[in-house]
Amino acid sequence: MKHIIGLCVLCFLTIACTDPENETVIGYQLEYPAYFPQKNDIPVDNLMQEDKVELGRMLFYEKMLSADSSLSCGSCHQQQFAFSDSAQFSKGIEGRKGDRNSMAIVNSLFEKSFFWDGRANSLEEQALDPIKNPLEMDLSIEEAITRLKGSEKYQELFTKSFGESGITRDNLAKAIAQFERTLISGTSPYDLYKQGKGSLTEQERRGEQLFFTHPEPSVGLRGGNCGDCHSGPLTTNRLFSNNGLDIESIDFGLERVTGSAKDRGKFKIPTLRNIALSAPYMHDGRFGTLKEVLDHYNEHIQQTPNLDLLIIDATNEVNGTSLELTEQEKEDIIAFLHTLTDKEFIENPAFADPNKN
Amino acid sequence: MKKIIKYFVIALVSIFALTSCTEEDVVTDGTVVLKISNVADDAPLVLDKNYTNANGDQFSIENIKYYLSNVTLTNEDGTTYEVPDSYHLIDNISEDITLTDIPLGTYTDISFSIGVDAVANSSTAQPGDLDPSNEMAWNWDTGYKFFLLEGRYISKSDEEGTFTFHIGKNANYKTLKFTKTITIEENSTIEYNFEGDVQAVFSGPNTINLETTNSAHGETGGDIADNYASNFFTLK
Repeated sequence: MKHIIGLCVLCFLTIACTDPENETVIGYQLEYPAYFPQKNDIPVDNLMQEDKVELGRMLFYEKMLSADSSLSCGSCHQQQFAFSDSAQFSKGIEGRKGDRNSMAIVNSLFEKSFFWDGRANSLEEQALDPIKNPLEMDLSIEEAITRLKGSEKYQELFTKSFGESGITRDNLAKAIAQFERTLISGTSPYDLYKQGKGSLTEQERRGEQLFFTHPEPSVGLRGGNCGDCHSGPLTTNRLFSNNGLDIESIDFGLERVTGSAKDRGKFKIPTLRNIALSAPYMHDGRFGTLKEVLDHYNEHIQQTPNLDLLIIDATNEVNGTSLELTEQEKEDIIAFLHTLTDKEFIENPAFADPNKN
Repeated sequence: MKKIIKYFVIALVSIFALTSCTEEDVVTDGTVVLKISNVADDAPLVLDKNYTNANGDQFSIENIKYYLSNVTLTNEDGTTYEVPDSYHLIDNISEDITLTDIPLGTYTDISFSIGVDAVANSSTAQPGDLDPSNEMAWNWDTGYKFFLLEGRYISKSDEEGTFTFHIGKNANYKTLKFTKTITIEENSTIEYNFEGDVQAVFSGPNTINLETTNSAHGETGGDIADNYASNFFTLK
């Protein structure tokens, strides 16, 4: 059965078929390195299609979708910052201050849950939330639909993409989700190095080694302990973690969704691809630099009741009580993190605001 | 537009419907279900519950996951049937692995491995449940953790701490074999009930003292791998 679905997906991705009205459906080919996960959760009722991606891109940059038409999704998710922004808390309409740091949209195609607290289970579910959110774009979806219906351009584009159903809540979400799925970053210098097309400096390679190693002081193995959670080519295991930020959590994170005290102060483990571009860091943007992040993990972990075991356990010294990396090692890891900055991704014209071309 | 997709789906569905019709005419296979349950002290494992291991340390489990792979059935005539793409991640307390298209016949033994074989462990191919960015991944060079066990302990001498066992690397890939004669007939489903005893991770050939062995990553977990190889699974 799996194979059948796979085959269908493949067909829709690759086959262009013509309908009686001479309209053409062209599948959108998602491309990424072979070492990326080969399974994804694209819903069968929203298979990738070129015209939907293009519509999604226009909607992503459409300011009409905010109450006062001042903001689009792209206002807080800017390509130059890996589809994040540089503010601690992004500003919504009328300068309203949000309560979380804008998440980078990178390889979200492979993610299983969305937002820092994981409250959405699909990009389709995620896409409408910021439009409705009073601290962000503050526009009811009903009003958004009305506004889009008032535009001949969108009437035409929705009909072209979705047929008779045209402009609906579902189709709005589907189109934005499709554009988000195309935001794939797999051409960083580290990718090129792994593919044998580029090289790393000595320092970057030391950082790579540290990044992926869980320290074992008993056998003299030093490690930065990053890769346990920021694992694999996506640099995230797509789970949630309490990483010892505050003894008393101000923001309960995942607990707000699950209702379980075990999940207090747990937040989504983000990808580190393009991390050098998406400062500040953490769900509340408390750290301005990667150095501050490394200092946190190395020296300032708070012993929260549900602190991640992999953090508690990790030290580079026998009987050590913190991570105990040297300053040099921290710098090495930061050098490695910079190799995840994907210039092609942030300069890809297919991801840019179509109104600015 | 919508119509086209509809026709397309209908066309595909009919093709597969036709295919399955032909298959139904001559049934050549059955289904095997491996029902896996993680247990401790003869009861289903309860996360965060306190247990006492063979060494006398108290422990609780927060996270247990492992790969079970390459299921092989030995026919009474001595030939073997290897289930293709057989990589299964067990990440719940109990889990069913359903294997379809098993050729009809009488089988005397079943074997499988804990971990991921050397070939799949060093390749970017991702058959079955292999996923290079799940919790079982080491780094970008593929390579998987075979057996992951994380929890807390209070040792015999009242030392409190945490343990993280992430066992992997080719040396710790262990193949287990169980004897039980089963016959797969047309359209039949045969169940095997396996219990994975968490206590066995701490005992067997090697009694684990959590005060001294509380962190094992990669190749350093040989003692623990020998334990899971010898007595973790029981066929009920």
